Amino acid sequence: MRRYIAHQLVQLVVVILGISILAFSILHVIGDPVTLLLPQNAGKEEYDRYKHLMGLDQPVWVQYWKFASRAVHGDFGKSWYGNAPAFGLVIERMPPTIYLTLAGLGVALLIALPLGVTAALKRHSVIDTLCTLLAVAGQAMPIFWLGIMLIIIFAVRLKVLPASGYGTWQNFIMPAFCLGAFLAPLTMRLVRSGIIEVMSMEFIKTARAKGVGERMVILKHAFRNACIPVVTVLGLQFGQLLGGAFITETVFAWPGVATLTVDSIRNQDFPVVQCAVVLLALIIVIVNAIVDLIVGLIDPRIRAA
Amino acid sequence: MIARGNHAKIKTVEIVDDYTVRFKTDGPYPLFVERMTAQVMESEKVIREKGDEWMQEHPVGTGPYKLVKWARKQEHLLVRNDDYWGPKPYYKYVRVRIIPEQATQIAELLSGGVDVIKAVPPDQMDVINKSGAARTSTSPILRTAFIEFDSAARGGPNPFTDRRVRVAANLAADHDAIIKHVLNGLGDRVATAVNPMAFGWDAGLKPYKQDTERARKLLAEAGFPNGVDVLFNEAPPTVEPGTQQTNDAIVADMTKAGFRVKRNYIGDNTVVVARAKEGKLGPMMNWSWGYYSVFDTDAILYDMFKCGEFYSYYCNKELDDLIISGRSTLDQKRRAEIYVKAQKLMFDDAAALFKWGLRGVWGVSNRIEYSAPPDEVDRMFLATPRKK
Repeated sequence: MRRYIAHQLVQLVVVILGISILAFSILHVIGDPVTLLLPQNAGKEEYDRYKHLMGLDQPVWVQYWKFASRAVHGDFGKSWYGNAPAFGLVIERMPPTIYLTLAGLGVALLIALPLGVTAALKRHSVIDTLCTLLAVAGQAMPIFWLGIMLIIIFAVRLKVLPASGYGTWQNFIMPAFCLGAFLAPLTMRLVRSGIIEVMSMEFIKTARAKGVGERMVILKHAFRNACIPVVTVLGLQFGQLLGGAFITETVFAWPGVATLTVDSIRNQDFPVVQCAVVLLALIIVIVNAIVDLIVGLIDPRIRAA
Repeated sequence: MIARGNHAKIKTVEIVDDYTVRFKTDGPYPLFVERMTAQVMESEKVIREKGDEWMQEHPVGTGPYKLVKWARKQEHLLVRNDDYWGPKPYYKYVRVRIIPEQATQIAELLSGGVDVIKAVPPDQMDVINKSGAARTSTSPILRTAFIEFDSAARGGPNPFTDRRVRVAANLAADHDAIIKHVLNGLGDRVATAVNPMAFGWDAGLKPYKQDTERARKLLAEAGFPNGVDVLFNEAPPTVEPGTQQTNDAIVADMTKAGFRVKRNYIGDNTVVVARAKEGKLGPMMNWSWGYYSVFDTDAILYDMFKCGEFYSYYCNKELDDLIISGRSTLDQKRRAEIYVKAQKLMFDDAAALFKWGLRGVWGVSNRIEYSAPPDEVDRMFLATPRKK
């Protein structure tokens, strides 16, 4: 266990360092943030002054060293646009993103689990085909289009849900459904193929021979063994969603980290981009470590290995 | 610092008495009064005690509303200032929401989530007007659209350094038809980039009329008998609705006149602004200018057509002299004469591909009375309940 934790910590440091250097380098080649920050009629004197104030007149490696030595203490500098600590801005946006991601994963499981199990048990039947079609349709529909359609139906026509925004449980329903519908097909296929594989194994026959009811055979024996790849993929998707739900956040005016990061990249607001990238990388590495532990709990053989 | 450029001509300020302030400017400053309307009043006492940064988070001003809550990139909540010196607004609270997606904005308007949205695309006007929940309000606005040519060769040699090519481009497109059929009539044709609402606009100067044959001849005279290849950098329609559709029409017309236009769509306005300042948006780019709410010809000529300015891709000493003369006298009659000459020069020299003054389209809930503002600046203290 200690060896595992040490390995995870080394991995964390290497990933964070690598990503921060990459993000820092890319930001410095994509443009000039001072030009964007200053008003249209600012002169050269003001340009030079601001460049010096922001520390951008120093060599890139000096800038990175200063950033890194402050970042290890949690100080990522101030947003050049918001004039507020970058860390605070990113942390402020984390809860909406995390809640939406969890809600999206929840919806994905609500769709994928019953469909996947049903499709597996009714393999090669009309029900199997329908379940697959339903799940794939969710992935084929662009999130942007699905989001707008849901808004038109439930907010404009039926007026039962708010069109956008954040704050009440009603605000969660449509964006979570959009994300869930997009994630469900992959999860459903994994559940289906996992159940199919496990149901043909000897221990299932043993369980049935012992008189265990079919429901318990599926839920307790088959599902537990089939869910390992599902848990792994969900862990990966959690990481993707944290910084990748940009379209959903835009359509529903959701105040999440993805839109903050994209806006900051556009504005070349280096402190915020760097903070967001580092914190997201940190969360993803931690989530992956947790997923590994969960998988180990589910299957002791993996833990022993 | 932010608005310093707009007030650079103010050198000193002297308080004469409780109701009188004397400003000393660096020479005549004809735009002084107009520019002052954009000046924000702040409390010196608060800034000295708490600092600039505190002031930014907790603004203390003299307006009809006070800031209650500010969720960055999400919303502002304002409450009526009952100590306001002027007429009190009707509505106690104003909530300003930031909704990035235009379709979502329209949905919020139609579902009653918001009362006002701005920059409604022309093709969505019917949707709003037929909804029964909201309507559109249009107004001519100061913003003027045009296509800049890199005639100053900031980005290097290009065909538009030749006047004949620039004139040919102006003769190629049928802007009247574009305004009528693409913009649903929501545009006012202009001879140059000066808006009809701006002081100094020359009503006697008529715009270019489409003449494809003459355009072809001019290209041939300029050394392009078989047509000419040009790159067209296009910005997203953030402030100019319907840009892509109107660009489609203009490019189609230019193609008939012998221009082979290669289009490059830049999907991010921040990138567009950065490249414009660096001189990298040539040889042809679509642009518009809002005049900073100053209804004066100088407010566009100086920033957009004076040699060496950040956004100017045109360089003509004679025009520069006229621009400086125009802002160096307080005699409005003299200024008007100068600007007539300036517009004639710009027109004859085809300083840009001149298009139209825009019309702002606002979506307004049927619950309130509110009109589209001609300078695009929303003043929510003017909103009142709609009488049934």
